[in-house]
Amino acid sequence: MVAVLETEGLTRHFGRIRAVEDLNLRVEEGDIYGFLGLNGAGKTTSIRMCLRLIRPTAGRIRVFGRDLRSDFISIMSRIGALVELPAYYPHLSARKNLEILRILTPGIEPARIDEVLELVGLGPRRNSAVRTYSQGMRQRLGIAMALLPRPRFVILDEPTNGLDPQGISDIRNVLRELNQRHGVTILISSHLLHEVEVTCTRVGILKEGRLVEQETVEAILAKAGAAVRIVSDSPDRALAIARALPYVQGAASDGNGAVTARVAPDKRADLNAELVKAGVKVSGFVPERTTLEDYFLSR
Amino acid sequence: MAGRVIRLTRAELLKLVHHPFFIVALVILATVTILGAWAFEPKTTLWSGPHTLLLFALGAKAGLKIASFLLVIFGSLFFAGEFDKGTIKLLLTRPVTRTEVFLAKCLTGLMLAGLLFGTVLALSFGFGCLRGEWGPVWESQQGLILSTTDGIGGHAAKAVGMSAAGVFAAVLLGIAVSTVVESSGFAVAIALTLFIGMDLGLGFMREERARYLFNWYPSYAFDTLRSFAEGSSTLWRSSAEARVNLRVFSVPIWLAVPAAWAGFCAAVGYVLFRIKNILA
Repeated sequence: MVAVLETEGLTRHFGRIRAVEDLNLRVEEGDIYGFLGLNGAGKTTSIRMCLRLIRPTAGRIRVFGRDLRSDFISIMSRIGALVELPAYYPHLSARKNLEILRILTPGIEPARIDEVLELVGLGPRRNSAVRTYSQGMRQRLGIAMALLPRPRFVILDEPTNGLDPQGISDIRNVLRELNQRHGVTILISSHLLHEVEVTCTRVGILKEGRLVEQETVEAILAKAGAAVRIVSDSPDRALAIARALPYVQGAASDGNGAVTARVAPDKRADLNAELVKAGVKVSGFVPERTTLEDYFLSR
Repeated sequence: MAGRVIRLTRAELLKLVHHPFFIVALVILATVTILGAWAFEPKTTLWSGPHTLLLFALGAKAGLKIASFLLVIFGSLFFAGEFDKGTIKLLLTRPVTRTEVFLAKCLTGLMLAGLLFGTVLALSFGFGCLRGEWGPVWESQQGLILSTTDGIGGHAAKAVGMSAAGVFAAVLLGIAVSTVVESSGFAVAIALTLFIGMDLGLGFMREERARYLFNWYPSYAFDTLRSFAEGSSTLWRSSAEARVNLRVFSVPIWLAVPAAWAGFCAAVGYVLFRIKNILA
């Protein structure tokens, strides 16, 4: 597979703070890549470096197989980006905001402005000043700005921030269509793990500036294994026993008196037997599907 | 590169003319220019009404002072306004380089300076033509011609030329500040404080020192034109007539000083913008 974005040893320090450390990211052509991490994990810093908004302390960035530093102009003409909060000129209408971006990008015809505004559902309000928009509408405008130049690669940092469930679903459909019908590669940084799970094909998990996982969503879910929810008279003991067993890949209390343990289906009976043998009275043993969220939180 | 700078400049001009402060600034400028000429207009003498170029000088001096303030304000919003709103990310994630963005902003600033400068000159000259009298400058007691029509016209042309570079440098002072300070409010405040400080400083400095500040020239040029048009003076002062000898050619000090300030401000602004990490 051809890598659309590839970083080698990408590092950024802010004084003593190591925001990003030795990041080797690989986004392949056709991917919808979910970039996950807690607040402060280094996602936005990484994205800013990939757009040359921040200079890396060390490392290389290649986009479409070319060095970002030396081929910046030709690379950026094929990229659309929304970094953190959407940015706009509040006294101008959505149309005028997009007109400014259109002028800056050669080869975009004026009709494209109305096309992207319709695509993100801002058509009826295209001529209103952006300062009168709701948070969700501003977010949609940010996405319209990223899609305006007909990019081959779109970088979206928290694209569904402030959107209602309908808005999230609409944007998900737009991104899927772009990816499947137009072959656009997409990198999404998000906290909405369910969204990432249902939208993305691959994910990278960033922890304290380091990439700790980079896999397809299926591979990660398979690795996570299935989970069981254990309801018992002694959740603390059940948790301790589950954690001590080598075939249990992770266990956590759900805070409601139950324990969720990640265990392969063929080992469930063994786990149940161990609990009973230890004197724990099990009143519920319910198989559950492991989500990306479960896996992410257990990392 | 030229094509990209032109595209960026088009986008900058679009933003500028739609800026809520733009029309307000033009209205303020027009009002001060006309009021400046009207309020300081001398009583008519036995011989005639005020000279057209006297009213022109009064209006231009007041107008160019305000134009310089407005240019410092607009200049300090050029980058700080983009940092404030986060729109600098929009510009820098398009296929353009930071050098091109900086050049386009400077070009837009200079175009704005040209517009304000032209507006002040046109309004003050128009007011002078409407209310004043064109012709030679007369000595009121003995009826002597102190300056011919051509002579006073030449002085007016020189005053215009002498004041231009100083007005243009003001916008670059604002731009330099706006690359340092990322809040538009602070940028405007700091740039205005610097400019007002320089302006106040002129009042306390000897002329030999004051001529090294770019903002000295517009006031000096139109003060001198006024005294020519009043008949109270017939010579430009030697301190403003000096020439700066560069290796290949020499340039008048009224061009060299503002150009040096403009170059310094542009260089500082450019370097700071080039090395800046965009965290907005």
